[in-house]
Amino acid sequence: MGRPVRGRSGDAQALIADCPSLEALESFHRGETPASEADQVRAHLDSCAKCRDRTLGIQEDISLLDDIRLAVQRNRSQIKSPTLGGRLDRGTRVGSYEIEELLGAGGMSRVYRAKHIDTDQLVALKLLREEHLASAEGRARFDREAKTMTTLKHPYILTVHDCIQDHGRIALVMELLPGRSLREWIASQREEKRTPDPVRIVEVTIQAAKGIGLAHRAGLVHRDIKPSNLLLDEEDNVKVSDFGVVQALESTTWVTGTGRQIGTPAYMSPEQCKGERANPASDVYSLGVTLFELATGRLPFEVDGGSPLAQMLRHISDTPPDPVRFNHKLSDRLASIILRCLEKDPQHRFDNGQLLADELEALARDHAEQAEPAEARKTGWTINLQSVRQQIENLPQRSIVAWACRLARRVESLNSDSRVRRALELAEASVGCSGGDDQPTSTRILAHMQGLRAASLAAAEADGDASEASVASARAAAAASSAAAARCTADAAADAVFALQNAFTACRRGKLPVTTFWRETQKDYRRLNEARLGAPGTIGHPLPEGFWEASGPHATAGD
Amino acid sequence: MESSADPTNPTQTRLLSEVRDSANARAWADFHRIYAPMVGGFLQRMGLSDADVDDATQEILMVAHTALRDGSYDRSKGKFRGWLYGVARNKAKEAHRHRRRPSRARWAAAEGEIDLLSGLEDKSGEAEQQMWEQEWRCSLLAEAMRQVEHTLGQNVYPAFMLYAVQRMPVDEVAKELRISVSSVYVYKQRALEAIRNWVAQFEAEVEMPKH
Repeated sequence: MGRPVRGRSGDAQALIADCPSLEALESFHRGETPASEADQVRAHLDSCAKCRDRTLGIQEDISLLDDIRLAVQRNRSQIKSPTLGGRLDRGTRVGSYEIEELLGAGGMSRVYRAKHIDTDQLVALKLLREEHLASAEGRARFDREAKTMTTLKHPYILTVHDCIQDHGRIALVMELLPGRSLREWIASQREEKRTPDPVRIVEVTIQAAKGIGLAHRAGLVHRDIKPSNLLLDEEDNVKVSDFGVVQALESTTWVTGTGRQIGTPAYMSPEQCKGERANPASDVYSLGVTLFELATGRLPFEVDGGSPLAQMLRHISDTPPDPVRFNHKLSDRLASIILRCLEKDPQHRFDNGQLLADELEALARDHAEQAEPAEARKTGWTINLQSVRQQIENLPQRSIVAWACRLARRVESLNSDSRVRRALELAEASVGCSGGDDQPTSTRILAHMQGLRAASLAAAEADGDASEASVASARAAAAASSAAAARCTADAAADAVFALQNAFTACRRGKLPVTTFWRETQKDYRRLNEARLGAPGTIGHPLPEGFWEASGPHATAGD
Repeated sequence: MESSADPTNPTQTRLLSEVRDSANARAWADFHRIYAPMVGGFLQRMGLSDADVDDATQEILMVAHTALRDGSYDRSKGKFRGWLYGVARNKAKEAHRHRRRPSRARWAAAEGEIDLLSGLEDKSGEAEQQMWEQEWRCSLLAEAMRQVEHTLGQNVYPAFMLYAVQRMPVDEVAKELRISVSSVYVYKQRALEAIRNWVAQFEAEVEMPKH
């Protein structure tokens, strides 16, 4: 903790640097500060008049508090204490589990960390509060959550192992997470004054949307999506939790009673605010509010004093602000996705969680590919040209040419110049041509091909505005025809490698999937290697019919 | 007991005049709620039996009520609770004359005040006055807590009660209420301020009414 002292024990370093917190001064006055830190507080008080003034207030506070405690003792029956009834102590047994610690509490239930008495497995135990055990609604809500959660299994939904009943208690046995939710995540971002990273935000929201999407597919609406219900596991993956107010889409009556508002005002969809029925798009709205908050650090509709009614009215009638205003790093596309989630009319939003996840994934993919060239150079996607060259040199020359043509074909679609296509066609034709004895033909073809190669290169450079992808595609074709015109295997291999290098660039810049391209190109190599095409005895024969068929010709270009 | 908290009508600040000037039932209920525990607590500590405490408390409050209505309590002579102290002390002494002196055991039962027996014999009544002031403060604070509870935001009062009064560790309070640790601190301070302000206002306007 690098902040000024906040806890009772305090932070020695912070005490010197900053004025101690009120709590630190209070514990100092009560003599509860550890000796090592007490000296520093004393030293600080000697030098800081402001803090000396503060201590006067603290002495008053302490004596007032002492009086209040006495008043509470004397008037036990009159002064209301917050109801903590039914809170379980450490060591209490619930079924086969032993309570270790309270993790959190909500209006309806408390969650404890608990240990299985035989296996020592640690779990989270969610217990319905005692005061709700007798209420039919509380019970129904808990049962509903139990039923829903044990059937919904998804990596992005909190796993519920079991539902147990013991001594009138009812508990859900759930997987134990480190105890952080997106609520804390947002808070820590805010405290550290960090601008949220759009990539991470999108990643987190995709996971939540997928988890919620599964519930939607199962015909359920969560109805209370908000940051505190989106938990994070050790790897910071999202787990959607708290299906306590989930509603079946098909049910004709509201289990919780018609017209009763369910949800949390700050995140509630306009239709929920109006007391209308929730639908999957309502969850999309709430996730949209969450996404807005993740992306900007604030709610789309902030209300002074947090009046729930004012909040709900704003959901119903106010236009949400453009999130880019609060975080300039956000792309317009992400902003428009957020705003689409926040549409008043559910029909204008994404229909369900999965559709939102799809849209965000498309966005993430495009971001990633734009960032790829730099990334690819740094990571494993640099081709070891030397090694490729050594391998293809083992092939007969004709196979090398066939291979180069194939890979150039895969990026052909990125350049529409007809000269490029003709150069490739001719190079491919040369593979089936007889060499050797037929010198005149071969020389003529050779001359022609060299002309086309030049033309292909010219096509590559011709258009000053041509995209990098199209230039690279033309170069790949030119290199393939060069290989066809080569006088020896080594030259052909060198040209083929150059074709490969350009085809890779074309793939990346032209947004074709690089991995698919490379996988198919490797497959071609193996096929050619096995066929020993161009080995003595095969020269002068065209490629056998359907030679490439099994691997799907030109598969990649259209992927 | 139903709460009389109503932010638009600060009943307490006009409590005594309302009790005096009208047959305002609610004002009387408020008056009773604040002063009865204090008078009762004092009488108990003066060594009266439980049955005597209840009767004597009723009598003292009736006297006070009448005095407020017919003007026999003259506010220019001092604080109302000072005047009431006189009434209560006399009543306690009267009760003592009718009964035997309290047993030593009974005194011992009153927490931490065994040596007050000598105080009772102290003619100046300093110890009695201290007890009275203490009872007064307890009653007033209890009432202040009742009154401010509903005017504070959600979780503020529970955070204050759990953390500051019951001294539950701050992180447990935060978990229990699902708020941050820093909110617990802020809420505690906010509730404390509200109580302090309520008490100050009450003392200024009720105990020392301006002419």
